[in-house]
Amino acid sequence: MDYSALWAAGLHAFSLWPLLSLCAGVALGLVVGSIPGLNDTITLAVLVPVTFAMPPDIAFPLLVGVYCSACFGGSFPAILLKIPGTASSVLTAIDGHAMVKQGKAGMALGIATYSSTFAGTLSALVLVFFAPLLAQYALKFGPAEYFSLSVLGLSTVVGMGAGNAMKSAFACLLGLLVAMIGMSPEAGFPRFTFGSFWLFEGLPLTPILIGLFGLSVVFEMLSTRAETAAGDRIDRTPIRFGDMLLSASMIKRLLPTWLSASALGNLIGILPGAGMLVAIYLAYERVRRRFGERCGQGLPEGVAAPEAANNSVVASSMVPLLSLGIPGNSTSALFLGALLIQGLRPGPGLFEASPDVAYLIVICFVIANLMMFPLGLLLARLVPNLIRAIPQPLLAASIACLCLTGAYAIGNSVFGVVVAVCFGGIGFVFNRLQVPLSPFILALVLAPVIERAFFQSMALSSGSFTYFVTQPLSAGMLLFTLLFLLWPLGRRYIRRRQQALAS
Amino acid sequence: MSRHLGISAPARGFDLALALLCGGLAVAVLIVSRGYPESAAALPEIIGYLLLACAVALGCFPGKRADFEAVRGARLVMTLALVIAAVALIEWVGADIGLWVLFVGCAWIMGYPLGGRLLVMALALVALIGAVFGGLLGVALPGPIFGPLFA
Repeated sequence: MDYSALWAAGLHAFSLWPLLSLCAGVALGLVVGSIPGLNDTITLAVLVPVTFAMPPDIAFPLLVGVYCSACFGGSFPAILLKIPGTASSVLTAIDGHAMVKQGKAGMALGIATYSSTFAGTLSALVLVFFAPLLAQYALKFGPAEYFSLSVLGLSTVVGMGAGNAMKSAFACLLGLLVAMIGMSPEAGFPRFTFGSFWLFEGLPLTPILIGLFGLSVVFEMLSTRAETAAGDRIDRTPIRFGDMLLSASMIKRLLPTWLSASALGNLIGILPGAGMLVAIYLAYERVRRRFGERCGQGLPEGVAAPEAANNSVVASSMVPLLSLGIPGNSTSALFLGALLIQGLRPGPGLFEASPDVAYLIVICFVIANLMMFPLGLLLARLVPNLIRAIPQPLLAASIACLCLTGAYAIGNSVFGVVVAVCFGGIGFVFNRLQVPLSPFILALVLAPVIERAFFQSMALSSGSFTYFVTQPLSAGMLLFTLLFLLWPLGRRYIRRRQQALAS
Repeated sequence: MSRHLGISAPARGFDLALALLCGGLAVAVLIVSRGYPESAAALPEIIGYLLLACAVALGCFPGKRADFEAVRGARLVMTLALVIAAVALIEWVGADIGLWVLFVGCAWIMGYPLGGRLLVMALALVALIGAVFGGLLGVALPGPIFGPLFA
C-alpha cells in the first residue's frame, strides 16, 4: 500500500473545499435519509449529473458524505415515527419505536448514532486498508477470475433474494439483456439497435439510474394513495440532548453487539451483490436468538444491531468497486457512474493511475463517519419539525425536475431524458410487481465485464470451457456461485423438514 | 383457489402477465439474435434460453405477490401524460418551460392547490436549476429564457 499517497490524500481531505463538500454531503444525507420516500440512491442519482462539472476532490467528498449518512438518517423517522426513512432502517423501527413509546426516544436516537458511527468508522478503516491490498492482488486476476467473480456477484444477488429468487433472476436477465444493446465487443456488430442511431453506443448508464431510482419514486408518489401525513404521527415529547449521550455501562453493554454486527456487515458488504438488507436481517436475527421475546419490546440491542450492520455495509460495499471495478450494490453502481463521468476507470489500476482520487475517496469515508456523530446528534432533534415542514407535493415536483434536468445534462440531449423516463416507468412497474432493482443494476454493469472476460478466456484457452475450472481461484468462485444459486432450494427443503418435524 | 391461498386474483393476474412477458421477451430475443454473427449472438442466445426457463419458473414460483392495489389509475394516466408533455416541451420549446409545467403539474396531481403561490415557487425552482446547471456547471439548457441567459 502506498502510505505516502494515503497521507497526502488525508491532508488534502482536511483542506477547505473538500472538507466543506464532505460536511455538506453528510448534512444532506442525514436530511434526505430522514425524509420518508427519499434515500441515498435517489439523492445520488440526482447528484451524479451535477458533479460531472465539479473537480473530483469536491465531487467525491459530497457523494461519499451523502452515501455514508443517508443510511443513518433513515433511522430518525424509523425510531420516532415507525416509518423507515430508508429500507435499511426497517428493523430499527421495531425496537426503536418501542423505546419511544417507553419515553426513551433520546436514548434510542443516541444508540442509533453511536452504533452507526462506530460501525461506519470501523468499516471505513476496512475500506482504507483492504481496498488497496485487494487491488494489488487483483492485478494478478486473469479474465477467468473476472468472469467468475462477476457471475458470483450476480448469483449472490439472485440467491439472496429471500422468497423472491425467480423475480430476482428475471431482473438480472433483463439487466443483461439491456446491456447487450449496442455494438458487440467482439464482432463490432450492432445488437438490438433496430437501426436506431441513438442505440449504437448502448443505453447511457446514468439516465438509466436516474430513471430507476429517481423518477420511479416520483411516479410512485404521484400515482398512489396519499397516506396519513407523517407529521401527525410524531410523538411531541421534546428530545433532550443529554438523553442521547450514552452512559459508559450502556456502551460496554452494546459493544459486543456492535462488533458482531460490524463483522457481519463488513463481510456481506465486501461480497458483491449480497446487499444491506441481508446484513441487517442476519444481525437482528442474532439478537433475536440471544434475547428471545425481549427483542421487539424496546431492546437497545435491537436498535444497535441493525444500525451497526447497515452502516458497516456502506463503506465495505465500496471495496469491490474500487479494487475490482465491480459494484457491490445499487448505490455503488451510482458511484461507478460518477467515477466514469470524471474520466476515471475503477478497478485494480485505480490506486496506481489516480492514487490522489482513490485514496481521497477512502479517507473521506472515515471522516464522513466521524462527522456523522456530532451532526447526527444535532439533527436528530430537528427532524420531527423538518418532516412536518416539507409538503410531499413540492418534494415530488422538485425531484421530478432535478431528475429530468440531470438526465438532459449528461449528454446535452433529450435522448437521456427519454431513457430516464422509460426506466422510471420500468422502475415503478418493477416496484409494484415486487421485482427487485438491485439485480437489474448489477447485471447491467457487469454484463460487459462478463462478455469481455468470457471471450478473452476462450481466446486464451483455445475455446475450452474447462479453463474456468482449472484456474483455482476461478473454480472456487464458481463453486460459491453454485452454492448461492442452490441456496433458495436448500432453504425451502430445510424449512419443509423443520415444519414436518414440528408437526 | 387463489382466494383460499389468501392471494387476490388481480395480483395473481399481474404475476402471470409477468411470466408471459418474460416468455415473450425470450422468444423475441432468440428470434432477433438468430441473424447475428456467432460471437455477437452467443450471450443474447444464452440470455434468451435462460429467460425462457425463468418464464416457466415465474409461472410456478412467483415469489412476492404483485401489489397494484394502492395505485390510482386516473392519477397514473395523468402522470404519464404530464411527463410526456414535459419531455416534448423540453425538446421543442425549451427546458425552462418544460420544467415549469412539470413542477406545477406534479404538485397539482398530488393535491397542492393550483394558485399564484405554486406558480411562483415553480418559477423560483426553475430559475435555481437554470442558475446551477447553466451558470455554475456550464450545461447549456435550451429554452427561450435559459438559451439567451446561459449561451
